[in-house]
Amino acid sequence: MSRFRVFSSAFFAVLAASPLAVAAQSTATNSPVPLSTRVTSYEIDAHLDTDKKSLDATEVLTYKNLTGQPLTSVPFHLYLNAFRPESTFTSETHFTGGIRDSEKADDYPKEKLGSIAISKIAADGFGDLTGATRFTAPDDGNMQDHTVAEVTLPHPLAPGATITFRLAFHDQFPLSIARNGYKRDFIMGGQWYPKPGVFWHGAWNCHQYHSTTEFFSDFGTFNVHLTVPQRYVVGASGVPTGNRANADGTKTLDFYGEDIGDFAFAASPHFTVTDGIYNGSMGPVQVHVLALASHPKAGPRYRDIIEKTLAEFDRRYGPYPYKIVTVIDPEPGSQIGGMEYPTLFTGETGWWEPSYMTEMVAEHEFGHQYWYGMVATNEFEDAWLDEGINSYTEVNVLSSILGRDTSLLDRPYANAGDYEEQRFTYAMMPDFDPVTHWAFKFRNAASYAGVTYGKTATLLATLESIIGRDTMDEAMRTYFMKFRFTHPTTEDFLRTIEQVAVSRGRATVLPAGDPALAVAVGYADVPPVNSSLRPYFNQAVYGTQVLDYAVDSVSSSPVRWWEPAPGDKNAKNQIPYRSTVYLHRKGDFVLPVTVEIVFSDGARLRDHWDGVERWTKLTYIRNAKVVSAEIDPDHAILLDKDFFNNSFTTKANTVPAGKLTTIWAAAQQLFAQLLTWMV
Amino acid sequence: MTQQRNLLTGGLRLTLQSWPALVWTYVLNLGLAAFFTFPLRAQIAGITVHSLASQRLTGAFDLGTLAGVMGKLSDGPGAAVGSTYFSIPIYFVLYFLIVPGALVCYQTGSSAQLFPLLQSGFAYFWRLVRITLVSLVIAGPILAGLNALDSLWSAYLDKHILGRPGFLLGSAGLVVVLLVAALLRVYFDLMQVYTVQLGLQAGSGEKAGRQIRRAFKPAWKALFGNFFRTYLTFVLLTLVGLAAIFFTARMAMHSMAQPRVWPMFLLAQTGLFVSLLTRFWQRGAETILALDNPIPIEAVVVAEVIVVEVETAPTPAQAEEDKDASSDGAEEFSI
Repeated sequence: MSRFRVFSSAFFAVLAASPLAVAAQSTATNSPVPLSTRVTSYEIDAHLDTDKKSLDATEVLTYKNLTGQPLTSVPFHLYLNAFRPESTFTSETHFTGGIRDSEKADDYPKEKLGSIAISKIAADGFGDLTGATRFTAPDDGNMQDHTVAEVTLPHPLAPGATITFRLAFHDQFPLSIARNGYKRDFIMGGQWYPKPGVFWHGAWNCHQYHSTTEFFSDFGTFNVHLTVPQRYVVGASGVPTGNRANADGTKTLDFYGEDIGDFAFAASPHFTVTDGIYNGSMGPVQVHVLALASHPKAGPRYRDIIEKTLAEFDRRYGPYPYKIVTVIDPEPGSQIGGMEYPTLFTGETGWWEPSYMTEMVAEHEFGHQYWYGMVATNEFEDAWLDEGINSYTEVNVLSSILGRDTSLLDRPYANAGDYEEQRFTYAMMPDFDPVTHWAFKFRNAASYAGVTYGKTATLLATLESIIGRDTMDEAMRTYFMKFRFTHPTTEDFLRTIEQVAVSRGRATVLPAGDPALAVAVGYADVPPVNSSLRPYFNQAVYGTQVLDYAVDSVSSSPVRWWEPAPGDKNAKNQIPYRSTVYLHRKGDFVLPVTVEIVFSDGARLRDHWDGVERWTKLTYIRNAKVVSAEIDPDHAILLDKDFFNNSFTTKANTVPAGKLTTIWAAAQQLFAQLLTWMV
Repeated sequence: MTQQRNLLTGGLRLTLQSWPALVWTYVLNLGLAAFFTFPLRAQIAGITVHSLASQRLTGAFDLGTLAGVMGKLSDGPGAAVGSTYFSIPIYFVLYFLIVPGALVCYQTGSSAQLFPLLQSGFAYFWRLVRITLVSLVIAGPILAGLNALDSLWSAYLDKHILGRPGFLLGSAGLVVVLLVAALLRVYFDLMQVYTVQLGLQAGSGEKAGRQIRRAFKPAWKALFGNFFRTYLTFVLLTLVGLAAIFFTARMAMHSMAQPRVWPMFLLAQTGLFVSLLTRFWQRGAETILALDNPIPIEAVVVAEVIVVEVETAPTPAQAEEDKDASSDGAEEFSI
């Protein structure tokens, strides 16, 4: 990554010299100096046909070769071509499930067909390249996929040189599918233009679109001019910089964004605007909500949670440097809700929504401005670094705002915390895949979701309990500040945590040759730390071990068991008891644990077990019986798959079973009565 | 001249007079649910009784903990959950025995204790099964067609009207379907009442199938001759039953977080009992209607024939003529 920084100042100087950039800076510049290494610069002029749900555009793409080597070809993502039955995306969705749409039916609806066609591509100094463009399929060889096309250059692009592509393309948006397309008269333009891959670690990184994957792209600037019917309201990445009415009943809207890696827009005639301002540590941020008129409460709800979330992120992890964040409230029943793009995201709500799902989705998607937008990890290969870390910060931020146990539902009769939802999704699919699997190599969509989101959030919360919340917060902040506007890897993240933990005395450096260091690791900018956290990382991050500790049994008997038991109750409390507690490591994940023993005289004591053996026995001689034993009494090891077997109390509590069976039996009765009414 | 008694008060009076039928039905439903839920209770207790983690379901109702219990239940073979469903078909069969028994009690004032109820129930069981099959054949296409129209309506709303207005208009479509379903329900309820009435009049000599066929027309005449009061009574009682379920369920839900089970149990059972009461009340109202609009012609003819048979022994030819006359009458009511 450091080599990118070498070129950044020079590249910015070229860009800043253009009249366009000067004009845009007046309203939309994030910072006096570029925040990112701007590899790409887009100038797109697009006309949206809201009747045909299609778009025609021209694109001028300036690409700076910062790879340090000559380039002979440039691959482009053509994501909209995924929405065809022949594509890898649709095939995977059909056979192993998708995180948004299952497409299990044996026919592919015509209205769900989408496409992007490049009618012409040329490059200044390279001539017409249309004939030199061909589809490739680097992941699975499916030549019918068409989500990646490679342009072969007639002569190499020298290191440090710039190439300006000039493209004309046509989009056909599908009926909403996987973050994209239209629903009623709402249109979401996501991944809608030809976008080059990222030259990363010595090679082009340009994966096909898969059922579970998201995206990866270089930072750059975007100047987009979007022509739409005048009745439409549009939200887009970047800052609105112009609005011109045209004679044909349309209007052209201008948007400018810098230090962002992608550009998306949403258009609807039914948007109502709710604005707010958050005064952050890098200046005011406009919270710009475009909510559907049919969701009258959505605008204020989105605005309030995002203002609070901005404050939490600013305090915990670092500043939000952009001038705006736009919240899109998509049409109900679409596949478009809950998706992130730079400075813009889609929420998910309804006209009646009594839980905090609206807030949870909004917070999560905003969090991606940090974990994906700025810390721009490769979502194809390291999905856990954006979705997982974001789920972890989501739990913490929502806990601060809405309460730990009430951040999903807070009603007098029931409650639910976001961390529980994350833990539950992990517990459903705990051990098929490590979190570091490439997103499209998971067993299926359920394993991808359970591990990438749920397990990562849970394992980082558990790590927080090991190294302490303050240390973890500092590590996260360090990671964000160091790697924002770059493309870090798994090891960059883990080593940053190790560095901070060691510096704060919450971890130690292992001696060379320690078996825990044997796990092969990938590329990283951060040098190895090799701390005592490695055994945890090896199991929780790189491994599929399942953590499950149990209290097998608790018993107390008089030490002098052969003597008659005293009849008097007080006398019973005066004799010594030998109490035994058996602990059991049921899973293959080894982690030291704390056990709290409570005695009948009210005394509490804590013991520790390294958990290396499969089981252990704790014995106590005391003038009191054991009342309960509990592993992880602070409830911090969320990675433990089963909380119920973590404790044993001699005081039987039949209320939970009574409640649940009462509900179940009443439901049975009701169903039986309704059935006899019907027939 | 036929009587026009108040269906609501008359129906309630019949229901209360034969209260054991209602109570037995409720008790059997509760008993079956409790019996078949017992293994599930044991399985849940195995997870929660000695675990401190389950305390979040004692003084609170934590959905995450609940999800954990459900997850653990699904870890095993799941037999306990599956076996609970057996209560429904068994209740279904018992209901088909008790309801005709209750209808006999309503019409004759006889004892509604369990044994006589079941005794009558066995006599009419297959007749009710046949009526149910007929109702499925007739109501099925009607409701399927309405359901298709409702789907079109929903699709239209989905395209054009969203939010709260869309929800309310969509609900209105569903209400229309339910109102038609209620109309069909009250008609086939009346068929059941008239079938029992015919059975009581004709004794065991008449074939069950013929009684069912003969019940079509009087049920139709009684319903549409007294349409508004009959239908409104039925719909009103249905709404009362649904409201009882809704409000008690809501109150029960609000007691879920209490560290005790009985408030939730009592509230839920109150709602279920009131709902069942309104169903038996509907049966009572329908019986009142049928008693006020009895099947006159065929019953009188049969009675006269019996009297003639006793007083003067008929010749075989006369008997044949009587039989033909009876058959003609049957055709008049057949479909």
